Amino acid sequence: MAGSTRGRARLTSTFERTAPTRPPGLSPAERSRFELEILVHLDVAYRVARRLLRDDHDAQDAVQDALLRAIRYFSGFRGTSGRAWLLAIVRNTCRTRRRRDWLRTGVEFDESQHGEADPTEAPERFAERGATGASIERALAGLAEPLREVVVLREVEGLSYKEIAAVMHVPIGTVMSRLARARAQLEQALGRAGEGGP
Amino acid sequence: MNCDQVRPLLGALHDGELEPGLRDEVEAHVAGCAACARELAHHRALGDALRAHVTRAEAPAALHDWARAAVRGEVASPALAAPRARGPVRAAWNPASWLNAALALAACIAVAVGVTQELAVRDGFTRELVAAHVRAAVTGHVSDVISTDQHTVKPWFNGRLDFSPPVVDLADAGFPLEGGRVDYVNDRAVAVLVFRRNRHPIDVFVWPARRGAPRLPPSARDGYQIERRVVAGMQCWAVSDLNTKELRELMDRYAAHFAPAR
Repeated sequence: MAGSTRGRARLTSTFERTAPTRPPGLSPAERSRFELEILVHLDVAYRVARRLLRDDHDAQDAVQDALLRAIRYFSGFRGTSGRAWLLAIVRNTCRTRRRRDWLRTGVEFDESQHGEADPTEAPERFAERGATGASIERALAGLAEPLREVVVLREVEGLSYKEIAAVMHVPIGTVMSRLARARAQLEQALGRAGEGGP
Repeated sequence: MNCDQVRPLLGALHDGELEPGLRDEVEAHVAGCAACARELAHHRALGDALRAHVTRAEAPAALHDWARAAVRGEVASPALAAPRARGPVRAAWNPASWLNAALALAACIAVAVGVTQELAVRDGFTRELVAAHVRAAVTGHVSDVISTDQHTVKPWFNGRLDFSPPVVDLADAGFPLEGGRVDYVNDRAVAVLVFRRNRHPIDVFVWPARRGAPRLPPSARDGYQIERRVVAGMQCWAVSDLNTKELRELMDRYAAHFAPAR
C-alpha cells in the first residue's frame, strides 16, 4: 500500500520535471502578440504544408502540430519575421512526417504519386485556369523540390530572400542561386511549351 | 556596368532585393539595353504567371477555428499533447490497432536503419582515419610540432584549431608523446597526438564530441587497430599497428588522466 503510494508520488514528480514549469500555453500578452505576428500567417502555413505533403488532410495535421510547437516555443521567438519563423516550423514538421512515412511504408515520397489536382478546389476554377495554368503546374512539377520551394515562396507567397533563407535554413546566397536556377528552368520549360501553343 | 555584370542581378532587381545604389546602376543599364530589358521582362512575366496560376488556397475555416482555440489554450495543451495533435479537424482519426503495429515496426526499422547507417558511416570513417595514419607514416609528415613536452604540444594547437585537445605525455607508462599535427578527417580539422610504443607510432585523433557516449567496440582495419574513447568531451580515436591490448592500455591511461576526480 505504502509502496504503491510512493511509486505514484515518484511518477508524478518525474512528470513534473519533464513538463514546463509554467502552465502550458500563452500569457494574455503573448497571446495577442502571437495572434498578430504568427496566427495571421495561417493560410500561407497551410499552403506550404499542402505543397510539401500533397494531401489536404496531412497538411492540416501538420499545421496543427506546427502551431502547437509554435505556441510552446513562442517565448523564444526573437526574430523580426513571424511568418518566416512559423513557416520554418511548418516545413520541419512536414519533412519529419515525410521521413516518418517513408520509414513506415518503405516507400519514398513520390511526387508523381501525388497529383497536382486539388480536391478542395471548385472544378470551374480549375478549368478557368486553362492551358497556361496547367503548363505552369507542369513546369513547376518538373523542378527539383528545393528550387520549386524557393520560387513559390518568392513569387507566389512574396517572402523576402532573408525570410526564405530563414525558412529553408540556408544562406541567402543559396536562396539567390536556387532562385536563378528555378527561373531559368521554368522559363525554358514554359518557353518550349509556349512555342507550340497559341 | 555591362551586361555580364547586370545579368546576374536582374533577378534581385525584380525581387526588389538590391540595395538602392546598386539598384540605380542596374536600372540605368537596363534602361539603355534592350537585351537586359527583355531578360527583366521575362522575370516579370514569369512572376505574373506564377501568381496568377498557382493555387493560393486558404486554410479551411475549421483549421482557423482550431488555431484560435489553441492560442487560447483550449485544445490539448502542448505539454500533454501526443506527438500527433488531435483536434476537431481530424475527427476522422481511427485508432486502428494495425496502425500501432505499423508504428512499432517503424520504430524497429528506424533503429535498424540508424544502426546500418552508423555502421556505414563508421566504416567510411575508420577508413579515413587509417588512411590519415598511413599517409602520415608514408610521407614522413607525422608531427608538425615535435616535442615530448605536453606543455609545448598543447599550446601549439592554439590558433590552429577551434578547440583545445587534452594533451598528456604518457612516457611513464611506456607511451612517450612524440608530437602533434593537424589533420583533416571527415571534412573537419582534427588534432592528432602522436605517441610511440617501442617502434610503433600511434596516432590519437581528437575532436570535440558532438554527442553520445562511446558505444562502438574496438575494431581493426587493414592490420591497424582502432580504439575509441570520449575524453574530456572529445572524441578520441587511436590508430596504430600496435596490438589491441597495448593500444587499449594507452587509451585507458589517456582517458584516466582526464577523468574527473572523484
